[in-house]
Amino acid sequence: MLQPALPPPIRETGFAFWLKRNLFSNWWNSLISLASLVIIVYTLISLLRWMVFEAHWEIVWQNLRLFATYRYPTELLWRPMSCVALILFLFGLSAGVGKGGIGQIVFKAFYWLMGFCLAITLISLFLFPSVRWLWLIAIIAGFAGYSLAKFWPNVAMYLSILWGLSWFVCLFLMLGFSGESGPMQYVSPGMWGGIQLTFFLSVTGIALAFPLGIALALGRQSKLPAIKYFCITYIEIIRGAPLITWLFTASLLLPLFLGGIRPEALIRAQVAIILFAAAYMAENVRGGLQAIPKGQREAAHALGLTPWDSMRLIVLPQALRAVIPAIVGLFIGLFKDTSLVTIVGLHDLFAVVLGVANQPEAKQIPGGIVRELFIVMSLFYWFFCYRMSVASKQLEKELGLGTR
Amino acid sequence: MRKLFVLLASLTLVLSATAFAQSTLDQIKSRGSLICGVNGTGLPGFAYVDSDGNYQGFDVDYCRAVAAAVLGDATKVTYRGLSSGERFTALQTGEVDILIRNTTWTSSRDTGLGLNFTAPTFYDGQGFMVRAASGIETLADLDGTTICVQSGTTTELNLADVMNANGLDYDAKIAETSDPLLAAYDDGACDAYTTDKSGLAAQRTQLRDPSEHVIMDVTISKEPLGPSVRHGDDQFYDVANWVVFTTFMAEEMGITSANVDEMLVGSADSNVRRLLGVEPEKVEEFGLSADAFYNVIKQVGNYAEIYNRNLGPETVVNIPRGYNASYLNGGLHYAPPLR
Repeated sequence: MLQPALPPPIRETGFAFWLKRNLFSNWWNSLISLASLVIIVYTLISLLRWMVFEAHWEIVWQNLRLFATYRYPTELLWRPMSCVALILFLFGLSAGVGKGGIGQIVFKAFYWLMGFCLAITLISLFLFPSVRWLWLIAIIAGFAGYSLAKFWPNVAMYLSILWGLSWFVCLFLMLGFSGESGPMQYVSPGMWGGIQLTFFLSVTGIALAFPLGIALALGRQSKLPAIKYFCITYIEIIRGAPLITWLFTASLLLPLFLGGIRPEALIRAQVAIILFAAAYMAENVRGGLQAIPKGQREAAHALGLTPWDSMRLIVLPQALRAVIPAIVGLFIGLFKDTSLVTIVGLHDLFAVVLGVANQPEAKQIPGGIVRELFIVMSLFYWFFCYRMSVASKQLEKELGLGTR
Repeated sequence: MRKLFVLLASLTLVLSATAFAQSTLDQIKSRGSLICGVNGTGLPGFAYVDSDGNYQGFDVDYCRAVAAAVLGDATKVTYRGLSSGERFTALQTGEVDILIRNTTWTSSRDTGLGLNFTAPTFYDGQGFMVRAASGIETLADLDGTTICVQSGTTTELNLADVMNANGLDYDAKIAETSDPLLAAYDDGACDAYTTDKSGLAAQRTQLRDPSEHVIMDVTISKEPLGPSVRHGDDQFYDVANWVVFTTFMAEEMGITSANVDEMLVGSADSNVRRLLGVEPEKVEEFGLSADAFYNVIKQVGNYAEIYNRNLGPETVVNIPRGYNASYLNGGLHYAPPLR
């Protein structure tokens, strides 16, 4: 006897089904969904209307130069721009020689950075004649670096030295040497600002905090009580107060320690940032050190390596590899925290934005232009922080940290 | 190592001691530029960075005036943008030579902080802005109203003091920064908005329809703003003070940056001749070159020019002269005689 045919199965795929199951499964869910939809559409329309018809983007346009380099003299803009070109060139080299998964990650980061710079280049080609060719040269330098690395892969050996040197070259380019005129005249750090300062403070901060942090982490594990307790005290004291406190402390107390000599405000803030980041770096590195099984060290000892060599060749490379994502996280935090230097009279991007909001032109606009400025600034921070966070995720996956 | 440390420490001490021993005037001259502390985040009309990266404003012009007097060149100024938290430390520790950052002259700043204020360059005071249609004209009319005021400022305290003293009742609507507060006032959340009158004038232009709002003819606090220098260097204090007086005198005598050269050769008035250095003794007594005050007028202008350029009717800020007129026109600006 034949069974009657079963009814066809209810469709369980497709957009309509997804909607029904997730948003309109019963009457109150439908009600909530509809209400949410109305709110979202209304908000988006108001926002779009404001952005297209009411917002005063022209003031943001006029002040792009201040956002980038603040009061850096216009005729000397080629100096920070050479620095950008140098960094793009080195980034290109690194992306070009990179192999395997990590190479891919560096390449993607390079790709996005170039995209960002290309966008700025296009804008400046049409609108900002003073930096038009400089940006074009910077972009070309990036491509040149990438191509050079493809032809000459051996450059990989020198990359870390080149990156190290580039910091000094950039510092020299931006400062110049003494003299009141000429192409290499001295530009005091008081004239730096905007994105230039944000990058300088955070990159220098993390670069110098890195060795200091490793030293502190090793010191904390030392068997010599003096070193051990010094490191513990340092780390715990620094981590026990917010960065803003240390910025003020460095700004007001550093000159006292130095017997009345007052270093530039930039140096004072930079010292505070380095010391602060080093304490956090030390704790990250310590996490990595503790993750390395004791057997590794014992095996190294059995092979006849000195304690120093076993640390340098066996333990540290593995430990640091394990904490790369944490270090990237620290860098992202530091990148944003640099905006606190406003309170010690430095003009990073955030301070410049506040200043632009107080220009007389801005005061003629109903409600001011704080909203426009903050949107642009948030986009900038978001672009870089998100991109770094993506790279960090990819690194984590590549190193297999979560799966081992 | 220990010896090296001791050597370095003593060297720093010697160096810093010599740095302090030199007078401010000599330091500025040997450095070739005046380090002037100004408002870092900007105050419309007083100090801000324009889109070309140059400092502009009323306070900034006084930095330029001092530089013109001491160095003969108004452009030789190194600006240090200061936050309100660090401005006094920066002056006390010698990081800036002079502080011209919309700073109110008070007794505790004179004594406790060790500052010397020159003659005020701008007499400010706390005022109120209301809707013209509301009919509020006197302080008593504010009884039972809602007033927008910035929290944590002397403005908030002044308001409470004066309202309590007059037995008036009010609701305060507070916010940390001025922009949201102003927006609240514009949306009708408050009947009145209070801050310093210079701020009222600058912020009125940010309202949707500035013409609907008036600044009341009531001033509830004294805020004399002016340059300040460190205690203990009377020579530089005199210079700063008399640069301010020079701008007043030039207005009193009708000398402007446009006609100063004619006055230099043509004037028979000995007051003018002393000021411009034709008779050089009086100016040279300050330790300045004979043309110091001439340079101030030539390169920066007299008080009226400075005022009109930054705060006058042609500008966005547009603050009526009021107390800030010369005494000849019923204001408070009055220069002692140069003789």
